[in-house]
Amino acid sequence: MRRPLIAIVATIAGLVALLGFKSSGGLKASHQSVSLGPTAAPSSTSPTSTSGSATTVPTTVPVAAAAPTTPPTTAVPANQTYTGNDIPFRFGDIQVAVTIKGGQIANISIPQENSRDPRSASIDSQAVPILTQEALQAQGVNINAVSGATYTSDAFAQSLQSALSNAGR
Amino acid sequence: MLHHDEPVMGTVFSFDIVSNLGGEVSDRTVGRQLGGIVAWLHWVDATFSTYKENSEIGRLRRGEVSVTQCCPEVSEILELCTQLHAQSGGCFDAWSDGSLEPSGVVKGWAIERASLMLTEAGFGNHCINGGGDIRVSGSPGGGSAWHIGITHPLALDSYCAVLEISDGAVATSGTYERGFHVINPRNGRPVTDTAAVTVIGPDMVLADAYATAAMVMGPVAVPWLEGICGHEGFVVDASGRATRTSGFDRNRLGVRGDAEAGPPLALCAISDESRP
Repeated sequence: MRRPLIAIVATIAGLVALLGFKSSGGLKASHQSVSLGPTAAPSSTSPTSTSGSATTVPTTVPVAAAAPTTPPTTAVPANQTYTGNDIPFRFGDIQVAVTIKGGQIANISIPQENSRDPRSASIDSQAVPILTQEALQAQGVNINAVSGATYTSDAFAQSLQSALSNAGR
Repeated sequence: MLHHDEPVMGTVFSFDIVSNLGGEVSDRTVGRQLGGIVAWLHWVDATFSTYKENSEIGRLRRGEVSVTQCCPEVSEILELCTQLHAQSGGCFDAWSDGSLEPSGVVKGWAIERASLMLTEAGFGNHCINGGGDIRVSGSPGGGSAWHIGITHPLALDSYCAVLEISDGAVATSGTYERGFHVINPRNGRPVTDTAAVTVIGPDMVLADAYATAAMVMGPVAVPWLEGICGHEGFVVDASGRATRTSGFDRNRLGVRGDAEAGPPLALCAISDESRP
């Protein structure tokens, strides 16, 4: 059951490697998470770093040996944002948008995230008392990395893949 | 600060590296170093993947090769698995579903190694985030510590704690949106009473394994973590109640040194009833 999923992830890894991978920070904690497919570890998680991190200036890194590369067959237009399909997941729907600049992924964002699980509502009300104080403290603080993540989901991977497919079209 | 995201091991590894020397030459040096580390991570993935049929682990699982015929890294990982199984009283079990599943150790081990490689190359100020498992070293600049947000397991767009760490590892195990996917090896059932466990420690491998083990312990997780030297833990249960070890707040931004304000509402120290 896991094999097709890995095929998807491998495809994404290939595509991402092909396009180069560069992400700029910004947005909220969960909203700038970039997770492709299931984690290998039993722990869930998988965001990538930087939330509103003003100190992080993304720099192009000449990474020598990355994932398996495929020669580009389609020219990728510059400076465009492509939106993936709306994919349902446990707590609702998720849709991923990819911005391509000069053939590289400049940003991945999540324009669409709708909660439809009634459990989400009760979860939110439970979470409030714990979080109020710490969330307030976190405002205005540069977060360098996020632990215990969010969109490790297959839904994220599927939507990202369709966004990348749209970009290559 | 140089940033790079690399999809590998079924997740994304993010690197933030402070280039000490500044300027273009330095960035090129970091890039070369990073290229080597990234290539190594893909090698680890290919060697230890339980999904890829031709991986050494895959062949070992099918009995086609013995441990001694595998590369030395395989024995190293297997020894770690055995050691962690004993240390956690069986709560961490790489053999729980009948066949070897070492990926719970491999990712943390790879992150720890990558951090060491960067430090040895002279880039001692860095943050590596391997799918939410984080290893930091030094400072992001200005002498300050790295700030690490822990996603709230019951409200994914919020943090349940913000940490301030200059050298160490942060691992979080949780149910999050993938549902109850951590299985208690002692009864074979999904863990439902704990929503998330975060462990801070000096080393990514142990922090990661302890977080996974603590997930299945339920109410005794915090007392168990309290007894592990050099590690601190933060546990959110399924009802949203948070408990933490006595030293956890030392690494917590805004809480540390602010004893008069007291802990945030709904956070509680270990209660007597949850002691083993």
